[in-house]
Amino acid sequence: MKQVKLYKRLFAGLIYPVLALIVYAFFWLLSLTGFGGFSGVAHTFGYFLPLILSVGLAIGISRDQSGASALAGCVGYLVFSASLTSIVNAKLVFDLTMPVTVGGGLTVTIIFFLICACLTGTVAGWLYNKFYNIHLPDWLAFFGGRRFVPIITSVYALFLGAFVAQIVLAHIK
Amino acid sequence: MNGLGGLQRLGKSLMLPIAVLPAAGLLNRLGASDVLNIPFINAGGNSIFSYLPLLFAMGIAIGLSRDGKGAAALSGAIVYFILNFGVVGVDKNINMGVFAGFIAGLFTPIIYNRFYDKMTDRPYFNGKHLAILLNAVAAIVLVLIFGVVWPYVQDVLNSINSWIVSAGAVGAAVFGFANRMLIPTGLHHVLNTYLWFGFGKYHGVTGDINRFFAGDPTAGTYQVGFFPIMMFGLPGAALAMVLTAKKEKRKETFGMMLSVALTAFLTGITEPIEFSFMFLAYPLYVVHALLAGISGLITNLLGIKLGFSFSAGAIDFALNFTHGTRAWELIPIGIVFFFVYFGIFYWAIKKFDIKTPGREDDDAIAFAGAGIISDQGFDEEAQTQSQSKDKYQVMADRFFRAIGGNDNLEVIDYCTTRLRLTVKDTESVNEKAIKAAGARGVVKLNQKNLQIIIGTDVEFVADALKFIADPVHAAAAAPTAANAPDSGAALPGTEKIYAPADGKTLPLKEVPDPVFSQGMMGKGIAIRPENGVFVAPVGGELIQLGKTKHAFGIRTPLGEEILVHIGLDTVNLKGEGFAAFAKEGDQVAAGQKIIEADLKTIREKAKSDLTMVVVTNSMANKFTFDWAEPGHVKAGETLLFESRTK
Repeated sequence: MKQVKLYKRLFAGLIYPVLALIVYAFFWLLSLTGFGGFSGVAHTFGYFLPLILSVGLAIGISRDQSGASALAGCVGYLVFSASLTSIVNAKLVFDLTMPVTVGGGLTVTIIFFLICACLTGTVAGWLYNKFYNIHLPDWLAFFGGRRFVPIITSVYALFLGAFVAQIVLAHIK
Repeated sequence: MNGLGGLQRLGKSLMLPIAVLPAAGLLNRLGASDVLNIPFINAGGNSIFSYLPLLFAMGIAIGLSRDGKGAAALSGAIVYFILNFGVVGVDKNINMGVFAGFIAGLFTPIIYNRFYDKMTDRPYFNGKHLAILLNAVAAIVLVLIFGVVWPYVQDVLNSINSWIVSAGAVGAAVFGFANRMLIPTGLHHVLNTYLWFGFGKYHGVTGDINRFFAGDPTAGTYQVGFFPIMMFGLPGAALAMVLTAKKEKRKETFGMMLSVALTAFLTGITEPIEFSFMFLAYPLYVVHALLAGISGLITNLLGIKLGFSFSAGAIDFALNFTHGTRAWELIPIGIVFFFVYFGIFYWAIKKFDIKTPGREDDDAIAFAGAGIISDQGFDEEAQTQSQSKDKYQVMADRFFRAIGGNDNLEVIDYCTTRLRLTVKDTESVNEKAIKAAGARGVVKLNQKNLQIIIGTDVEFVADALKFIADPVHAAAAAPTAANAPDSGAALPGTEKIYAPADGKTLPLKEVPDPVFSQGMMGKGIAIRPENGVFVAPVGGELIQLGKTKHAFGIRTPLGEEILVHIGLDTVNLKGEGFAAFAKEGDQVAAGQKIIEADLKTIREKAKSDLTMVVVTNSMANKFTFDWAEPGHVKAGETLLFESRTK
């Protein structure tokens, strides 16, 4: 069987954030009932969308849509955001549901983090394809193969976050 | 899925998220103010610790899903999110912590496994997507249940916590013992997870490991006792095994023990050492578990505190050293444990003549590594095979056949060092053959669950085994195999294989040689030849025709590799009585004469003149075969079988 073409995999990966949007809308509608269990989800789910985007892209780009790529997409986004947060505002402790504002209010913040999620998801997927079958020396072999992917992604994401915070954001301002 | 097997899969599923922890620990420590003082590195590491429940939800969903794909992980993440923030919406005092991740991860696969393989022809809305939506809706049930129930569970957990705290050092000792005793079953992961990630509270973080990295001075109780055992004690046991090995095997044993002792010392992965004596000398293993408990007791009574991100090896020791309490005292304690282990093991191995590695009787095959069960004639062939495949594929091939193939095999999983298989019946598994293929140990847990201990590189064996076992998976992963020279060439279609000689055919099972009769060389058929003329059974490239001329192999346009082996034990004739009419590398046509053999010589000097036609790469499961009825055949004219690519 031939490998599915990258653009097709990408589209398939982008379905996931769309599904998350449907879930978001569903819980938003339910929250109109006033029940706390629903509004608790509805009020925070929006912050979750960039993470889903990052995961979805990582899955889409990975050569076999494996779960390790999804985990890498998740780890990538978390580490990236934490690294970025700590540089933009040293006093703030990273919280997924309270992303740091980069100026311009909530909408800009969410769009900014969606763009960042594209970056981390792409990097995670690319790293998966590069390292999914890496063989490490015997004493480190446990961390080889697919398990290596989230590990290496966390390192990339750390410096990507620092780079975006220090250089990209500084220039935009 | 039965209970024990289910728990085991849960334990195994935790491996993927847990493997990220060393990275998190490394970043946390390197960035910390007492090391390099770079806040953003520290924050990056912390974010993994603080979202561990989310990672657990994804990891468990991946592990318990049937296909292990990213969609399962994503669904687990969404369910976790709904559960976690839903219950907070119901009652803001609820904090489910790591349990929300567990519950979401366990819940997600129930629906996912029902739908993931439906509607696969629709790339943009298939069963996986449906499962994600259904799970999000079904998660409402979780929110309702746990929104009401969790405050009570929280009370129970709090009293368990205070009970564990009051147990103090004794509690740590019991944990150390229980942890080691559970290793053979693999269930220790489940026990660890509660103490390491769920127990206690410090500034909103729970779990002994999380609290340690968050700076809780009381954390480390359930970790510190492992440092003397893993860094010093077990390497002491390894040294005892080297010194008690037979003289002629000491060098070999030293090489093996050095690598596993180094693994234990540096990373704290101890299973390779533990499995080398666990089954041979169970009492010794119990002693080891007791010592682990004692170490937990002593270290805690002395008030030493140290934690790890992954396991109690030197890397974690060095990284977290400044963060612990009087961690240097672990080194003298460890040295004492080194000598205690060395002494006990040396004495016990000598006294009870325990067959630890390097001491087995010479006919034993436990230490043989990737041993080759075949007659001499095939060493050459086996070598070319193992060159074209990597060693993991060769190992997986053998396991697959020893287990009884897809007729017996149901589920393939793996964790740190072992394959965890679910089979129809463990009794029909050939344990000896598995060990001979290079496994360190085989555990038949019950009728359904089988574990094969491989080592830390188990993932590659598991991948290869999945590849062999699952034709669908094999097709999806085809680009991986493209490196192997023999797999890329297959084109869809059929091929006819004709008789290589005049004679009567009989099933391969009736050949008086286990290498052929048990199908170790692949699927095929045997012929009792009537004259000495052997022709190519099929057109293709003559890829093998050695000096001994007793066998030849042809690679067909479809990618099959067909071996014609004339007689049994005929390799010992060293070419006597054989004449070749083609040479290696030639393109041959079906029916073209390749070998003329003097059957009289063969019948006199070799075991048998039975000639086998086998498809040596039939284990790769890429072909199906239609076999002709046994009977009288004519060389190059009668059809033996027809192969089709899958």
